[in-house]
Amino acid sequence: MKSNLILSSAVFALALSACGEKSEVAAPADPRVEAIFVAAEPAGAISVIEARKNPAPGTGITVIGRVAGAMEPFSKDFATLVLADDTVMTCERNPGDSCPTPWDACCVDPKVLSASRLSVQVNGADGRPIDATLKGVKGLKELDQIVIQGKVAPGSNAENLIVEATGIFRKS
Amino acid sequence: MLPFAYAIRHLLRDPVRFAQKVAGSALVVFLVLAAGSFNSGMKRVLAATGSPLNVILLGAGSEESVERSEVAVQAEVQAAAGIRGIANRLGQPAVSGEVQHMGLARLADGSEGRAVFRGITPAALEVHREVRVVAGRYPRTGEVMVGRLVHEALDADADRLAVGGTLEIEGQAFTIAGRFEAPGTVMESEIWFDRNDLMTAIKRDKLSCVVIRLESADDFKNADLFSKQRLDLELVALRESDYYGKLAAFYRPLRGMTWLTAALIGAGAVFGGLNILYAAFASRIRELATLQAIGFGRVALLVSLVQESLVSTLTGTLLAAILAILLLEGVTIPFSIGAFHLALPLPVIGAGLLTGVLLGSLGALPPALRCLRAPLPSALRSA
Repeated sequence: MKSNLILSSAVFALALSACGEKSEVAAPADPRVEAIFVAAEPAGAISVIEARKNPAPGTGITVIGRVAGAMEPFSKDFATLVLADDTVMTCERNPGDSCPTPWDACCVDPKVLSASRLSVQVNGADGRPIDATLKGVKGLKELDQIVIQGKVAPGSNAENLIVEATGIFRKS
Repeated sequence: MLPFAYAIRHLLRDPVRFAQKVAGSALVVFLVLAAGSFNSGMKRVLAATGSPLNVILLGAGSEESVERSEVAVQAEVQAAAGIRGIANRLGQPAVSGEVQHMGLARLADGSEGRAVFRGITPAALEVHREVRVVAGRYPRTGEVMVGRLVHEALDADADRLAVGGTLEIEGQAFTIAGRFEAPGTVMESEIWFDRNDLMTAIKRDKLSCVVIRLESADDFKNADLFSKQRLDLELVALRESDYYGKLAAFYRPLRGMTWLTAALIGAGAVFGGLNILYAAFASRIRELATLQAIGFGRVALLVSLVQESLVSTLTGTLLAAILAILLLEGVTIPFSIGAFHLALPLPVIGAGLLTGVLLGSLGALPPALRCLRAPLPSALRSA
């Protein structure tokens, strides 16, 4: 009788827990991507707008910004993200704005937004972006402020800057 | 059990009432078939247009409409160079920068109609491989190629759009150089131009989209990566099948309206049919009571009444199916981005048949039960 009661309680508790908000089960992070995260904040970071002024491919760069500037700033299949300048007025900074994707900065003039973002990628040994997402690794998500340490990718220019990250520090 | 012939004899005893029952059920089933064929036709044409191997690069923020999208002309070359896994033939990558525009086309007789114009280069035939030129040839400057169903969109006779004819678009005359088919897709309702001609005619200096054919659907991630790396091009990569899937969702309320209209008209016919059945069964209370008195059970009588009802509704279903084949199948319906054929696929025919069976069985139960519920002595004395 007692064991039946315990079993019933367990089933009831399980049923109740199933009624709650479903939580997304995060896939385990790829160790190659996890390894890129650093514990200490790299010094001498410049803003995204500053970084875009005169990028020289192959040179080292440390830049600070937020994961924003696109509807989907993270690639689902590769270790890339879009980094927007800290000054970009993402929607959550506008009082009363209930935009469900504030990181896309849809209220910002597209020309201003274009000039205030860059692409970050974490390359593997083959020189191509690692085929694993950065989203969720060490809790990284949209609108997080991060510091990227790396070098300017070949082919980058003032119009389109790509940074090959060698270190990512999640500031907030 | 009562013999089946009893039910049939009763049906034929009053031909007018039988005809009313058949006509009512035929109307309901015909409406179900019409709404079903409209829905499945529209869904099928949108699904067939989007290939899972094709990716559309659209301007960021214009994911809902390719006509509103603006993509820099150089994106075509840069995509061809920067995306891995693009299908190619004889070394030519299957990358097609296109311009799409909804506009007015004037025919030689002065009549006008709206159609989708697509400005293309020969690479379009590499990405849209379902397209076949069936008459004439690929258009050169000053010429167009028309889809097999474009006359439906323009509400004109097909022979007015024959090869060699002319069309006036944005004040310029274009010779019809070819006619193409792309079975089951919205492209069959489009007019295809040389890309430069269309861009000049509509005063546009950017592409609407870049369509890419991949070697494998898994290579989509490479196109997505390109759109995220080339932030300066302001691109969004979408699978073509997803784009047309979203369009299908956009038309869902319209499709819902067809079902609602069918349901409202059908409800009238159902209530009319119920009324007829109530009257028909009520007039036979005494006869049914007599049958009970000589030993037939209520269940046997109920089964016989349902059989009788089923014969009339299934006759109506058969009539509706014949009418649907004659009046609906193959009819072309134009809509804003193209045209589609009404068809009667198996699920639609199944829905019609099920409607007929439900009308005959469930519809007969309330009047039959009411008729059989009366106590035997009073039923025997009823007029």
